[in-house]
Amino acid sequence: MTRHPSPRLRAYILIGATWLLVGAAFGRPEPIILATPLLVAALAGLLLGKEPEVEVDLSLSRDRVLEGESVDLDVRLGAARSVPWLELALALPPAVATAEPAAVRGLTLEPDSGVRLSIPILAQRWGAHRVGPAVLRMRDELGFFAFERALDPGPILRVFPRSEEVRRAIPIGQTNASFGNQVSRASGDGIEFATARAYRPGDSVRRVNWRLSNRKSELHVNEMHPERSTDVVVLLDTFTDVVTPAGSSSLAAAIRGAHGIADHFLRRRDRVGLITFGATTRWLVPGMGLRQSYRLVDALLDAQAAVSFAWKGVDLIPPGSLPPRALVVALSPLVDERAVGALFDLRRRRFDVAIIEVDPEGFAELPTDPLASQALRLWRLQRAMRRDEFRSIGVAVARWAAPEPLEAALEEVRAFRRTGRLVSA
Amino acid sequence: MAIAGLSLDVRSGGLLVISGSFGVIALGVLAAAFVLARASFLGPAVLVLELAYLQHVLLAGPPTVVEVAVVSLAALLAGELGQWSIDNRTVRIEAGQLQSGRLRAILGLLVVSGLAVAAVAFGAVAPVVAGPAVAIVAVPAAVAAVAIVSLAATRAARP
Repeated sequence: MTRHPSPRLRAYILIGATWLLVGAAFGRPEPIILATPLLVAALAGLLLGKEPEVEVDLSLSRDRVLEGESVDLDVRLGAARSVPWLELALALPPAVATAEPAAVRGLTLEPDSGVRLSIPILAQRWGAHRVGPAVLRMRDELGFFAFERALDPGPILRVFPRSEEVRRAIPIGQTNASFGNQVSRASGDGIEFATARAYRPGDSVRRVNWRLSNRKSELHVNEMHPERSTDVVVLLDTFTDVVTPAGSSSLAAAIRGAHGIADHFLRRRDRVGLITFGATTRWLVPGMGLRQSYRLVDALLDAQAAVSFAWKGVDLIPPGSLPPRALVVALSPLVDERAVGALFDLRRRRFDVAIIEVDPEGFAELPTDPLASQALRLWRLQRAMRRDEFRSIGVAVARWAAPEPLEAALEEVRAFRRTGRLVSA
Repeated sequence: MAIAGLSLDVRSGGLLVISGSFGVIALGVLAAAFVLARASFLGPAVLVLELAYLQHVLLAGPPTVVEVAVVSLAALLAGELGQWSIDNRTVRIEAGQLQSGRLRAILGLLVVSGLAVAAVAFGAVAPVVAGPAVAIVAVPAAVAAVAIVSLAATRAARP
């Protein structure tokens, strides 16, 4: 705790001492009478200014909220001795705001009767944000001394992104052996009809197609597509984040999209993993269920773009986080060459890749002068060529101009994967 | 305002301008402290207020002791209420808090200061003749004053 004397304490002592000297020098009582109240006040301030002891507890009514929701920050203050003047200043990270404009709150504390403040704060942007730091400033009875104390770091508020709505899944080529909701291309026990074939010993009688058998004069059985689960790995490009002056960013949009896609596949009981590929590469091994959903959200909250000049490839990704039959759904602005190279590399390694291109143009100020406009046209052409390159090796690329619905981009991916042909890269 | 009014010398136009300018400067500094919410301006404001009064004393002759006592307490009140006002403005006061405590403390300070001023004023005007009675009162009073100042200095030196 640091102690700061009020400027007026120094002034009172200085003025009082000066008048005393003047009075003594000229032998007049008037300056001494003028000095008396100031010196008495200064003495009283020095004698009464005791260091207060205050206990503070900061807590959140909820530590996990969705973007745009508000939460109450509870501040409990208590003191063994009376604190006549207490100011609480709370600094909040930019992504979190208070509903009330005043940042400093003033109150008094009586002994053994704590004060509880409830400060509503609004979570404006996803992420893990530490609420604080908070500073207490206490004054003595006469305000001659201020005692300042920085509080311990406040609680962490985890703001989950509002996920994009995904209604239909991306068709997936390869499935796992375990049961799920994805209709497998293989034949076996299932609901969806696949084909009919001649009866073989051991086939179940219930699968005999009597109408076809009658026509062919030979027993035929129906073959079905079994429902299987799939592995989906959401790859988030964190090399680049295009941010508008208003604060919306391509990475935030990508995270919302990633959350929506992951959530959709998890609800279908598929195994979903996550790789954040950027300056820091992090991964989450595919898993399923509610716990995996929470893990995914926590991993997404930690995703952030950072400047890095190191060349990074898919070699950095551990094999366990990329199962061989997994569908890799990449969300990337396709701006950084390292991310683009990694996606080509994944396809060359025969992974099934689909790319949601988070359109960076929606987050950038477009130039108006002719020269820059020409450059922009060239850049767009290059990007179109890159998309064609991806498509030529069987990778679906769909542009997503956030905040448009993600479903439109996913429909483009679905259409490509229905009609397109996976070729060897 | 009261001090500035008391400091005015209306015997001639020139004196009025001189004494009035002191008062205007003092009120200007005080107003700046309020408007800018700068507590560091309060000390200079009190100083200029008292200077304004002293120049009146120099020009108009010795005043009554009661008048000086009132001016000294008024200057203290200006400083204390100014600080209270600034403190109140810079924070968002929670419901029903901070309003009365400081005012009570200022009132108490005013009473104690008033007693001290009365004692000094009485000492200045009372016909005191040196003798053992004076020594019996003055020596413990001087020791007590030194003790209080020492205690205050000790507290001020504490980090």
